[in-house]
Amino acid sequence: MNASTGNATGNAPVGRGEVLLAARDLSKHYRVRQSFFGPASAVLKAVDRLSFEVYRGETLGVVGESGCGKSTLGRILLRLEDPTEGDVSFEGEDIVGYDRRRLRALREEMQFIFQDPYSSMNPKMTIRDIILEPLENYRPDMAVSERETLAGDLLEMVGLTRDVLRRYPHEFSGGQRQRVVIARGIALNPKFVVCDEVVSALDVSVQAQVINLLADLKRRLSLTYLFISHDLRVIRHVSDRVMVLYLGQIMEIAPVNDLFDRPMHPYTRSLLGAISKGDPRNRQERVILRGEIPSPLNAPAGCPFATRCPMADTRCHEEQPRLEPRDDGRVVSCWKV
Amino acid sequence: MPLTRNSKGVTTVSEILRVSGLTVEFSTEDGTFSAIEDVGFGLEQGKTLAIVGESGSGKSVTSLAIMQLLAENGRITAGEIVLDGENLLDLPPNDIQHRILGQQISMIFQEPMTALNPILTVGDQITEVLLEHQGIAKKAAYERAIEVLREVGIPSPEKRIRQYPHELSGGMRQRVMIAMGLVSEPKVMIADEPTTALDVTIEAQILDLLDRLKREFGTSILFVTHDLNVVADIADDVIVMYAGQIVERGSVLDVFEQPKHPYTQGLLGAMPSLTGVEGDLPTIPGVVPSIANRPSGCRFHNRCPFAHPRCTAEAPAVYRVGGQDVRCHLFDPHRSEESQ
Amino acid sequence: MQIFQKNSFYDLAYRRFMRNRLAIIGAAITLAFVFIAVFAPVLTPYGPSEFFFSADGTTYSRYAAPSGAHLLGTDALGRDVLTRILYGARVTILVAFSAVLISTVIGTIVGLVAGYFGGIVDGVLMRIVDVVISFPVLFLLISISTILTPSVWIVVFAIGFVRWTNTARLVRGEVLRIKELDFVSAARGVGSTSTKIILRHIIPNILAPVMVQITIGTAQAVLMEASLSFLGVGVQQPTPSWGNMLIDAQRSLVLREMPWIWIPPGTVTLLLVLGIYFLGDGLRDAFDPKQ
Repeated sequence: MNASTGNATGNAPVGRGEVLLAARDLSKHYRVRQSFFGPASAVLKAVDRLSFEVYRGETLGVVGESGCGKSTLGRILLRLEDPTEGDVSFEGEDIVGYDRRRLRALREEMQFIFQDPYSSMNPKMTIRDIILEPLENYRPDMAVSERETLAGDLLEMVGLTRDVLRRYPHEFSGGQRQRVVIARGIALNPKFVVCDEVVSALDVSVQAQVINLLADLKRRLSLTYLFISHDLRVIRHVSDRVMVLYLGQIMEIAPVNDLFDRPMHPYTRSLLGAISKGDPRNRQERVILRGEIPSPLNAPAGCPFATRCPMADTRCHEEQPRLEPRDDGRVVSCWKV
Repeated sequence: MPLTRNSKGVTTVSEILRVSGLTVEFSTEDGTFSAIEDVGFGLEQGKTLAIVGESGSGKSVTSLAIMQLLAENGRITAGEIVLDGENLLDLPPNDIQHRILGQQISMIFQEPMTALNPILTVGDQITEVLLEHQGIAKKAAYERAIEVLREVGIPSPEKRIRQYPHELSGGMRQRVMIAMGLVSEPKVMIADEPTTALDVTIEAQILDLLDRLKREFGTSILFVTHDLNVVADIADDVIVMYAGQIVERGSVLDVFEQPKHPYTQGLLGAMPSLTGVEGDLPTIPGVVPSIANRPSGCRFHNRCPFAHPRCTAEAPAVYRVGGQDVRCHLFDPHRSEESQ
Repeated sequence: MQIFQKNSFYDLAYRRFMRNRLAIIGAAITLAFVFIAVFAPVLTPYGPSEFFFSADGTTYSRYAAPSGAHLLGTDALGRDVLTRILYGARVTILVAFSAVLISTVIGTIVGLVAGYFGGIVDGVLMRIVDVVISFPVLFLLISISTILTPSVWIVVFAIGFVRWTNTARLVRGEVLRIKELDFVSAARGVGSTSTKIILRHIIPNILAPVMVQITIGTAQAVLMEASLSFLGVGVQQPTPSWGNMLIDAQRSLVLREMPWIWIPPGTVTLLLVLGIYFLGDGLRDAFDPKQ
């Protein structure tokens, strides 16, 4: 029943593979004007001093509630937005300083699969044009017929048929659209794919199909995923390791089974306690976390979770805990652990 | 145990709401489609009945039809909605407006930001139903509103009552919605995906609140959701809908532990588990049919692993199996063996 | 006939449009006036500035009531009213279409640039829009018409100058909305350049509202031209326009006794504006069925 031991105590300590992507002290702050006449005074810390690695071939799950910065993180890693501070290295090279030309080359290697299959495709374009767009940009010498053949192959790879090439996005259901978006995402044969809530908008029966498809593609194309989701069940199923975010900061990083079986950070414990066990016979009391998520505008001085933490003391409120790497491959940011 | 099933349509004593044969049609520029067909169930006093289904299942149309809030092109073409002995479909619209909605049945919506009026204070919105229809004095109404806000767990309600929706967080807004639904002590509360837009820790708070209301005030709740996990936690009885029909109905324990309909089985199997099972998830192949493309015969036959020729040709009847009602040919007692 | 690729946005919009009776009527009225404008010389035996004499041949046939020879009578100078209406359609439509063409081109470019690039560019362009909106156009026109030789093109530029701001604001708003949609980020993510994103992802998605804006703008330009000409600062005599044909109705005698002078130009103006509005509403419904 506990499949976790394999990962946690196997020969190679978890997370000691080859680092594909590393972030160090990555921050994205927005200046926000709080009143109409006032100066741009407040600072919104969307993500704040994130440091972590993504290993080649793994799926790093990123989980957290609204305002935790998980979507911002994905966009920064792919340089769809610039970080305020910090470094990102991809295959050992610092990519934050990349100019436009090198950035363009980089995008071949890193792709983004979006949350909402309804807005992530241009409604005025056919499926053919949508899938061909990355190929036009990066494979200019490829003949059109060759590109079309490739587009058909990609569609078959994601479980659609070639004959949908001439159709438009609105002719498809949410799950089928998400397949097209995935086909576009893998068209350039990337190494690293950020999946941002890719199954959240889908029906349960279709969600499972897309999760399986992503797992299948990962095996076949040796992909590395950063898998962002608010859904702990999905995270549990797809991830090798999980990073828990709260108010833009890392609370805990751990191998998936360790995290779910032995959560260390009080926030992780509260999260796991809050979700349903899905078993009507054992309706144990959910752990009810008091209070609400504070606005990231008025982030607390100490530990961001201190305002809701059942274990918090004065030190938690005043001093920010450090991300402490531990021997077992876990990272926890808490004074109490 | 009072009966939940009542084939003759007689209202049993404990049933506060009985819906039978409910059919809703929508006319669009592409023709007329029935969104739901022959939907029937009973909601018992002080119980929570969950309607669960995917998009296009008709679960929301069912709740909107009961509230008489269907869009303009929607029409109830058959059926009865009996609330406490009164068929709502026989009542004049005026009566429904003044005596039923918001008073005997109230509704909580998914997105409290759009369901609350941004230019009215929390207090104005909660007291509206009291002032408009119950002729209660303003002062008394506000006192009642404060009381209800406290009941739904809003801290310092005296202060909150003067605030506007945008000043509240998502969880607080949903609590205000619930307070609005609760203020006139309705017999039935319909909650349409009330936690879908909320974060997990806030969802837990709201579900806990609804459960407490049910126990303390005996409110009967019709809970519409796509999320089976929420159903497992909050429901007493469950209706599973697919493509406009009820495919399975039973107590939450029966449905979760011995699901009968292949669709229910598929849905429960497709949920990723929290205990971390390796490998691929079981899936239901194909897509949820749109309202215009529902297959003939059994509507699930093109996705069903047990489908046989009869399923394509003939719409199944509802059979009583164990504790459940199931719409599936597999449970026809007179079924010939060749189809097995 | 298959005009658009099957099931494309425009194909669906076309089918919705063809089901909308009022929109078809609007399109028919608009096309009818375009037809009249193009074929005016064929449709009438007279010239627009041809004077007619009374029966004795000594005086102009001024304010002659409708008759077999002059179906809508003659005006103050003895010209055929019907002929001037037909030729007036040319001027009115030419002015409206040219003005809208100018305003659409300027407005779309300004809106696109402001919306897409944002920041200071956006700030500067939108303040210019504010200035233009605040401009006392009538005053400007009256001054111009006293200094320069009045011409149709001054009217065209005046109307275009006023109207582009509406298009610019509309386009900017649409661009801001579309820019935030995931497919624009997705295009950037698969390496598309800004030019390509604007051409392939943004422009095709603002086309529909711009087309609606073009029709509404045309209707308003027709009205503006009529108003300016009526006030004497628009299209000048002897060039016929529906607006300057109404000038005579400023005299109460004409208003009371000679309805053939002002009812025809008033009616055609109303009809054309209504027709274009029906067409515009039809386009709007066809493009956005949810509204």
